[in-house]
Amino acid sequence: MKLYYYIWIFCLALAGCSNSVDTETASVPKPIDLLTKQKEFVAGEAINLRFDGKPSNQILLIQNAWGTFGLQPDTTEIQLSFTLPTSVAQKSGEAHWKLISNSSIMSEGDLNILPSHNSSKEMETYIGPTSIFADNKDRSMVVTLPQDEFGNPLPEGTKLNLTEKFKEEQQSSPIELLDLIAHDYVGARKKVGDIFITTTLEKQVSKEFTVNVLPTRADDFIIQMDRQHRFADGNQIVSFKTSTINDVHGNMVADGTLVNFIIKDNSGNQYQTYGQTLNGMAEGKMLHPEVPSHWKVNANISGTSISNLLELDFEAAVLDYAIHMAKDGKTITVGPILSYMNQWVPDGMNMRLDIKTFEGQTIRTFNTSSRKGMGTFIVPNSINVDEIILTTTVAGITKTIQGTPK
Amino acid sequence: MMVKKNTYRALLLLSFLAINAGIIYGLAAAWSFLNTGADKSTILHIGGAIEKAYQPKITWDLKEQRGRKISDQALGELEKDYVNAWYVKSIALNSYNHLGVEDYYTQDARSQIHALIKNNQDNAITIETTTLSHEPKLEFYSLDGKLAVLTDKNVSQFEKIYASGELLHQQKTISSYKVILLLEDGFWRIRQMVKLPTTTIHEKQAEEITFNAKSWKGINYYPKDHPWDMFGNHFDASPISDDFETIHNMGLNTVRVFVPYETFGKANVKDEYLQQLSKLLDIAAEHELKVLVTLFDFYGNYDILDWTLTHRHAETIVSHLKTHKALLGWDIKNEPDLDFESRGKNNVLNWLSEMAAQIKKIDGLHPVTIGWATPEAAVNLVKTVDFVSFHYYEAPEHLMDRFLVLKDAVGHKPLVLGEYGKSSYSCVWNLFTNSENSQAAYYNKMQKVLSKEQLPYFMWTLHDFGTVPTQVVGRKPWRRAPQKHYGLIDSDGNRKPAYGEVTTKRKGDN
Repeated sequence: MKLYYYIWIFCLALAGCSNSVDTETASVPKPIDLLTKQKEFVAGEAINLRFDGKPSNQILLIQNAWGTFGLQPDTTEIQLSFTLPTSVAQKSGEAHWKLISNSSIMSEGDLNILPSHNSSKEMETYIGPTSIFADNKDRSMVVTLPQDEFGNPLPEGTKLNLTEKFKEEQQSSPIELLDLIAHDYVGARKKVGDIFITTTLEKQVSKEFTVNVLPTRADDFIIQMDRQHRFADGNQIVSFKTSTINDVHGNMVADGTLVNFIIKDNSGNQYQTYGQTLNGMAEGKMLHPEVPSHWKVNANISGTSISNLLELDFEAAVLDYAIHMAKDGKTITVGPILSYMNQWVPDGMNMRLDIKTFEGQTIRTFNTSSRKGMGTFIVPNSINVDEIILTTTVAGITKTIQGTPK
Repeated sequence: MMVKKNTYRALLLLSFLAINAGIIYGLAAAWSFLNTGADKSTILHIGGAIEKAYQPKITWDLKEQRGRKISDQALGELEKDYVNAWYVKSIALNSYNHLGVEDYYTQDARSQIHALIKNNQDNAITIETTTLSHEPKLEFYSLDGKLAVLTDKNVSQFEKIYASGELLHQQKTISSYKVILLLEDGFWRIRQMVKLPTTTIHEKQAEEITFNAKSWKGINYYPKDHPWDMFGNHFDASPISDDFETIHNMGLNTVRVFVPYETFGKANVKDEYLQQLSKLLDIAAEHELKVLVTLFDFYGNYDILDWTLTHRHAETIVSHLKTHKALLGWDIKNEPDLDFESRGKNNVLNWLSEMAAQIKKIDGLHPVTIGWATPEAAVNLVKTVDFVSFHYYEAPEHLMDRFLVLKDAVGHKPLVLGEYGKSSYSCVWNLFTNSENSQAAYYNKMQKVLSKEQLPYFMWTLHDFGTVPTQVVGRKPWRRAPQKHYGLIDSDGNRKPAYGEVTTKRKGDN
């Protein structure tokens, strides 16, 4: 207790023989006034907070959008002052400061820093999605973040210019800044093409953005067929061609759109071929059948559109042929097989030999193909020709031999 | 010469011991390594669920949102990354470690964070900080789902600022921000933040809670077979029901129970445990007992970055039980003053006072207290609690003096003796001074003081226990053994003499 007493005496003695400013700092801390009257600053301006006091161990805490900065007093000044670092002085928005000395708040207040008047050169702009459908509904969005030279967002209500060019037409419209950004929709076009977009604010300009307007779902289409002749020779190719496929707004579908051609014949078989569009048209190809057939063909683009139904007939190319069994009873010669002009059928026509019991049960089947209108089968030695029926099938025509030639 | 010789001997002996210790340690390590088998589930390389380390309260406002309507899934991802952005910044401010800042801030924003950290590093400032609650309003979500703007209102933030390692200042601030986020590489990253002018929020003045502490006569409760571990697989309603019947018949009207923080699942409270706690309150209600629920048992972190997790824990339990008719109130933590030394008094008190505020925000009807270990510690946070609770295990003769000092300091707040009792364990450790009779004598004296001072009480405890977990009193046998014998009923179910001392006659009894 006595010690405190002496300290007090000492302090009073000091006070007695020194000027009043010294007693200020020596006494119990009392609020330190802010001398700087300015409360509103422009980003980038040097901000210096001067206080009515001497620098000692004070620390200025300043909280802005990014966090709390702690600052030491300026050492070059006689009076207590703090120069805010550029990272604080260039950041717009509210900043709250507290002057702390010996763990107590000496003074506190707010600063308001406005965005700089000089805008950034480049306009930060985002566009998405970058491709839309030409269905008169689909839209893309432009979002732009205009900034001052230090990257601060510009004040609410700032008006920007959005320019949109599509084919020959170009239009500009103002968009207004709200919640740090300005945004608008572009698109809703019927025609395929590219929309070019840019945003500007005085000298601040964005780069050029492109939104592709793509054709939308294909509309229904028509198919036609093209063939060299109508005979079922199993050699020629029939091609199916689509009309130009467009979407509902008359835009040609994108190249490479897959078109499926489905073929059903009169025996209930189903075949499929496909083609990809080029300039809106696709072509599918199919080999002629070997037997007289009736085909029903239609085409579709998976899930979106279908074509008309196309019907076509194939007439028999081969009307009849001869078969001959050699004396050995093993070698069967088929042919000559003659086609629609009495010419040999093209090489490669399928020929089948079925070996059956008298009860009609198939024991073996052999396949071969024609060459120069002829074909040969050899019945294996293990089979007794007297106990079987041999049947050949070529171009849908069936012929039977029974027993060994006499 | 002799000295040197002895030194050599000592060195030789010590090195022999060290080598032996090394060999034994090596063998033990090899043995334990060979005994660790790969868990079968590890074959599948399924990543474990990552526990969220930071869970401030987020309340979204999606009204009047412009642009594309956001889906719940997208909002969840946005929220997760936004919260992480705050978390990595907290870590950077505390440790100057930029880990994660790249993931949650775009290039421009990142340079701002770096400037902030560098400034603080140059000025030897470190900041421990956490945000406690956010009320983000989604203003805008772009059509392609890659840009969002939100106004994060009333961000409640707690900061402790250190200059050269010394605590300079601590503050709780409420601020609002406008934030632009961009979706880049699958991360929502903060592109821009602007602090909005502070609007003063008038915090609701806490209404005075009415409760009649004077009538409380209670006991701290654990079932006989599972002390300190009564929930989960050990939870059994029937012995609890029998015990509560006994407690009711003793003329008592309250019980104090404990909710272990980690066992209950920390921030994500396990539903099973919550239902069991609820069931315990149901049983209490059947026996006309009220329950004082002590939260955060075995919790001891208090770190600012851990705050939000404890808040979610309390939020779940308090909001689940706050309408239960058997609920008496909330004891935030048992004997937190014991952590003052190891965790820092300031850290513990900050945590408690914020926790009290969090609980009161959810449950404004039930009183909140803190179970201080001594009457002297109970002068802390008197303004925060609704009634002051302290524990006393010393001689009954000195209770009066120490209680009166506390009573002066506390003012008008009701006082409650949260724990008291005496072990009947007699052994060489305590020179055979304890006995069942001395326990009875203790209660006789205590009850007289308590009834004279009209001090509400919670005895320790109903049963003698067969085991006491080491976390409770440590491993020392002279501390563990007495802890097993604080009961009014011995391990065979016989009433000790003290039982008769504390049983109060109820109306209608002769």
